Amino acid sequence: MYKFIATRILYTVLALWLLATVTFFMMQAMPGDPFLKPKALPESVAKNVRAKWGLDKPVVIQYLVYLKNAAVGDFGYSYYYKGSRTVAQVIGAGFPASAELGLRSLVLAIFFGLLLGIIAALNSGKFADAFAMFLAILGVSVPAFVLAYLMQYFIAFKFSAALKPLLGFRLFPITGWKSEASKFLPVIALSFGSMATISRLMRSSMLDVITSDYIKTAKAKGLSRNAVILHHMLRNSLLPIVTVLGPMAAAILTGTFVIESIFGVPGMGRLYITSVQNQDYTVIMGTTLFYGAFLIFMNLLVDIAYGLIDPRIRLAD
Amino acid sequence: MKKKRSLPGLSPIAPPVDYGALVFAENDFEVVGTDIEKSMAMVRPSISYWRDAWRRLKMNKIAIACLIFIGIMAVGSVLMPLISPFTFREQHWDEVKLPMFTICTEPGAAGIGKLHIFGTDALGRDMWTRVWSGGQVSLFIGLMAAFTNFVLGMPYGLVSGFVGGRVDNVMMRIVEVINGIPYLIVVTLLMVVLPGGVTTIILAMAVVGWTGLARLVRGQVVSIKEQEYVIAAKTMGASRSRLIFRHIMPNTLSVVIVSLTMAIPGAIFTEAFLSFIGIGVQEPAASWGSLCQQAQSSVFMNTYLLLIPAAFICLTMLSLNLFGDALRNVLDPRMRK
Repeated sequence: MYKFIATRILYTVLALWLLATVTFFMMQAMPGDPFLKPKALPESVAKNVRAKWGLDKPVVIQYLVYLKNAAVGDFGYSYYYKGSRTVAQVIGAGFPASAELGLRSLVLAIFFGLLLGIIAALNSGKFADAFAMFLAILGVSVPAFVLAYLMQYFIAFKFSAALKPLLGFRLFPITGWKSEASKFLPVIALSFGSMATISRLMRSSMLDVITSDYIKTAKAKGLSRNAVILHHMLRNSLLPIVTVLGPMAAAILTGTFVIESIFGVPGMGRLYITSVQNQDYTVIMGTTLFYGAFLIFMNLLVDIAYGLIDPRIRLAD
Repeated sequence: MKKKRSLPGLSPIAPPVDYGALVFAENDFEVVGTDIEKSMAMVRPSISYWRDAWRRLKMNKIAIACLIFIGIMAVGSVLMPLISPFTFREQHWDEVKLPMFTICTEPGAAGIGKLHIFGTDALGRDMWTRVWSGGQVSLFIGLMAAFTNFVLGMPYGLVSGFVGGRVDNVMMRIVEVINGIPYLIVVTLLMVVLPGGVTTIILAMAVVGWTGLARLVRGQVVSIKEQEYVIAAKTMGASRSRLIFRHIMPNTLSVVIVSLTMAIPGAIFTEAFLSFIGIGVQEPAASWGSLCQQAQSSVFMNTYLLLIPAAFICLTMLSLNLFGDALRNVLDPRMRK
């Protein structure tokens, strides 16, 4: 088991290093120079500035310095935000809202995904199954931004306006991230795709389990229906779900980009898009590495969790 | 223990048995013998795996409907921009944000008097033409992503699985590390650095997208190369290339095809996402994702500008996903009833 975890951690470190290296050299390869015209500086000043930022050193040294700084979370200053805000500050300002949005969506997606999958599998071939799977196929076919706009237009705009005379207030605000009501639509829009993925996976994994021999045994020895479902079916069919949690965290995370900019949530995703559009390179590098590290770490956790749950995985390695 | 056959009529001792109205006499039966020719003859024509898959796919009405829809989308995307009276980049300054089904009155336009079927966008460009030419871009990116996955992932997986041993170990560790890096983050990063455009999108997707297929193919090869028919071929002196291309590769194809079918909607999704955050397809070219993005500014006033490309994406995705599901069921022998 320790060997298994150790190899996983090694891959994680390698992946992180690769990501950091790729990021660095891609930024190096970018055309342009901060001291080009029209902000041309006298040669002596430019030399001093270069020296100050370490740009006069060979690329290899710059790379090592960058790696050292990145390891402690120091990505320098934002080009775009005035008043010398560091990238870490910019990220720190956006992180809480994103984390809340992502976490809420994750919980919602897992809960309703499992529920739908279980209902579908237990009623396989009946109406409930068809309905759940229709929802699921819809979920993987509708891009998050389309769903977000549709909800914003029909629910937050039309439906809330129609209800306003009755309630005396707008049920859902169109944008924002303050009241509970304002968090409702973004969370649903973000979780829908993942919910669909989970419910499809849960259904097929449940159906595999239902036909297996140990379920027959459990039934034959006279366990109640609920005991069979809870202790024998659920536990065993949950295994494949654990594997998709890593990619799902990635999907939810990239989903936050669009959901945040559509619903005006002051999070990291919106920040990332604005920095891409403003070509704020230090922030792009910083957020990219932050996101990358976060996801790579998530994958590590999922791998270890899977190894703990299923002995076959760690023995195979 | 041999079971004694006790047909009453054949028994030498027993007298004819009376079964009500049925009475058998001794000479009612004769030995037919076994006709080897007849019992070995094929009663039905032999069907190849692919033909059988196609036969079962045809029975799935939904899958066929999806296939036809995808076909319409593909043909329409190629033909519609060609036969439309407008081009995807021509701007009619007097006809900005026209509603659907408005007749073009722009002086000097080639298509004057013709219908703007889906209206016009914020720059006075014909939406009908733009949606179809956007389909060209989106579908092309989807196909190319699947193609590059195949070209890179298939040989990698074949070599890794077939050679095995240390080579396999190293190759798979490389895949694992690349796989650890989040796909969309790398694509986004590449899109920021490289000049925008369709080629860059495809390149960015190709760089990180092939690992899934490589893993899949490798897993298949590892199990197939231990099968009896491969060992038999090896014993009979088949060369390595013959083993790979004649015996192993064709048997991985069913899994590969399903995976590639699913890669197409994935790539269209990614492209839509990139265009939506503004680093995908560059103006004046359009894709379904960039059309949605441009509709953003007036989403509450001209909702159809968003709804039309959104509907195109959703329906195409839906058909591709449903078709992929059906294909998986058809190509997997375990799903046979």
